[in-house]
Amino acid sequence: MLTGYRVLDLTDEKGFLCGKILGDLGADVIKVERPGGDTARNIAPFYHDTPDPEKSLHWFAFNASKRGVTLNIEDPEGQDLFKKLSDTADFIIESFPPGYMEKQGLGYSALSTRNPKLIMTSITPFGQTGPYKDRKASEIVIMAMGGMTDINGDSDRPPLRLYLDQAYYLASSYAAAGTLLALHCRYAAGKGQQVDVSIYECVVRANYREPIRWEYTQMLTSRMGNLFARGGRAYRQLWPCKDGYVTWLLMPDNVKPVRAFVEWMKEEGAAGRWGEMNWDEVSLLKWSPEEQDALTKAIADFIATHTVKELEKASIQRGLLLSPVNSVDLVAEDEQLLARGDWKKIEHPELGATFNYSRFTYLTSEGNNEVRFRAPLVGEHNDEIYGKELGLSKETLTALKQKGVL
Amino acid sequence: MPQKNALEGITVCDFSWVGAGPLATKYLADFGAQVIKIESTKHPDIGRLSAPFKDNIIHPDRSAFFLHSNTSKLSITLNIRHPKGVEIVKKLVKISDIVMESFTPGVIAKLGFGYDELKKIKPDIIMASSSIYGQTGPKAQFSGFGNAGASLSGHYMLAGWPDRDPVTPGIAYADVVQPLFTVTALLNALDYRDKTGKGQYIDTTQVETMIQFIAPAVLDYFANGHVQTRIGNRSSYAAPHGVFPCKGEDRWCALAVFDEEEWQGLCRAMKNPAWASESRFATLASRKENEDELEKLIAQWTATYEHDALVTILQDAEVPSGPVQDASDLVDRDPQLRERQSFVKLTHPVIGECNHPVPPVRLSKTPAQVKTSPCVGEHNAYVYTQLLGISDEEYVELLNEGIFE
Repeated sequence: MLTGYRVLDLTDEKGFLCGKILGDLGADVIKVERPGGDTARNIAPFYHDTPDPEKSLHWFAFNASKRGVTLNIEDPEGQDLFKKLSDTADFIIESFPPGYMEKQGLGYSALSTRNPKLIMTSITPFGQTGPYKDRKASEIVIMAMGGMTDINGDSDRPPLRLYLDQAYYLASSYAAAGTLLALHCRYAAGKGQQVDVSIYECVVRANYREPIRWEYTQMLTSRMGNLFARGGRAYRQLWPCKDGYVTWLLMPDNVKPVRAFVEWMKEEGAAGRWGEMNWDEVSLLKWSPEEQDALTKAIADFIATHTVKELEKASIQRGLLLSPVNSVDLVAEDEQLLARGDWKKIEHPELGATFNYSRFTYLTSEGNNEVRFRAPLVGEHNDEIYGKELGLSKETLTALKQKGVL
Repeated sequence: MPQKNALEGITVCDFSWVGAGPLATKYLADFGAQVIKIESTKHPDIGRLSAPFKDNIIHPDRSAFFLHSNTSKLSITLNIRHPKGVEIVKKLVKISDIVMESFTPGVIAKLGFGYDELKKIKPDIIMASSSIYGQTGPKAQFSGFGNAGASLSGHYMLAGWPDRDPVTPGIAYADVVQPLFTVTALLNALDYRDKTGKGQYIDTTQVETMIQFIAPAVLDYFANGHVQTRIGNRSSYAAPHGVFPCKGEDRWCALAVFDEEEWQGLCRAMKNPAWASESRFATLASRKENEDELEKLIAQWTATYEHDALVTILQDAEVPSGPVQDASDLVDRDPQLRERQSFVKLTHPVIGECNHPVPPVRLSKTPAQVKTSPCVGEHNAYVYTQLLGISDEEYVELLNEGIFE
């Protein structure tokens, strides 16, 4: 659907997912790597656990649906070539420290003078401005500063981050949306603009409960494992069942799923005194914490006597709002995802292998939105893009390679 | 100078409620779309009943949770089950570019507002449905709240310490993730409509969007057969990588070392203790192998500093590092958030002056212009009489009939 738009993707792992989203939507995304390849190619896991820049599954996952070239943008000849390339582009996505692109003569003002329609999206730890903009940070640092580790984990252990690099994926997804916002404006204005994404602020936005808790109640949540804070109370949201875990939450402001649970328990003779109540008149908000906890415990005991599958089935039928806790193998085998065609086989001829990728980020009735082809090898499309498309001669290309520009 | 709002002229008819749907339309509204939230006085948005409340008084116009998920929108109340309410929805759809909903799959069609019906009213309408598991498939009827997406998509099994049960973060994470894809889908659909004249129907799910956020673990399974599990604060490509104790009660500092340069920086910051030059810590691979011991030694060093002093030392040595902050730091003190106006003070008609969240995406020419969130039915008169052209007489008639309830 974004067919016809060109993206130059200069990001590292902080911004990979942005270009991937646009590439799945059909944009011609060209990953621009330093000569020899992006250092993020060394991020595990690797195909068959063999560390190799051409075998990083992390790289594959976030750089599929992109083509790839190598270019030294710190070299004057590389900078000239980049300018030519950027004249053909609608979007540039980058994640260098603020000021780096300007230093190379490739800042937004320089590039947009040549190509006024250009949209440039920058994904950086703290954004392009502000007292922290030059701080050294990484995912866990940004999560910690953004308040997400403070509320995650157990009280007897250090604050805990999420897993993998959630802050980067959040920022990359915001960046994709921001880039398309700028595209929408371009219709009316005819000109591009800069999109400045602060990973830190993306995390602060994801941490949506705590800032309002603090502002309105002057209370802070401490780390409490599986408890979920709502208002002045905390509710456990992960429960062991017969063969795994499920999540379920007693929400006093929503009586329906609680009532549905009690009705099921009543059918199996396990509802106790709660089965005798007139649920048309129950307002859980008016219950004392002790009363809420007593019912929660009865429901938890009931959960412990059932399997994940039984609980999931009952939840769909009865509206319990309960969820199985799936590991990735169960996700891969999930009948709902299989029925929706969520997996797509992508070929890796160099590995002699074909394996499944997540097919789409969302479904739509018009146009295509799905992963198209595997991530590029180092410099895979140098000849195609610099030669065929930009018209550089074979001799020039060879010379640039020898000089280390490509 | 800002030209104008990014989405000026775009109208959204918004049936969505609670978390993931409203957050998506909030971003559209913050960037200038006219988002008309259709509410019911009898069945209020659960978001309006979510704590915290101003002065701890439970009231639909006093929820800070609702305020933060619904900035810049208009609110109308309407009985969409009454035939006259249905007619009004049709009028609304006619002036809309986008229809957004997040009911349990199937409900919107039963109400008479499925995509096929809407297309008859407005052929190029863009419609998005936001659900946990999708509009099609054997589990389409699955319903749940924000934690369901994280649970079903494999996230929770990755969250926590290797020797303990999964730990769930105190947020409904999928409610944060899914809207980002919904916004992208809608903006992409606007672009497609501008090029082709065609609308489209969009089906976004919590599970499928959340799967994007564990993509390396998904490939590790499909390519290698590995089922990844919990690794606490560690990272596959850095060591040390964690949150370390500082002086004081529950004070911590996060730091991470990805390459040789940063390791040398950390050694310098620690004033090159003898252990740091031992061969078992010489390379990333050897540090990964001896990570337990490495973390212990670093924790002994960090615990001798106040966290702010430690961050200064580490930043001077160019080691990625920062303090663990809590919400009071973010709201009251953080100079970065303040300078970039990440929270902006606006006056809500009932709550009064309070913080409003600004999108973390800054557009240089058309920045977000956040307005406060609406009270229940605050914009009835404006939307019904001005936008839809209902006469004052008819408006009063409909009002008396209870259509606006």
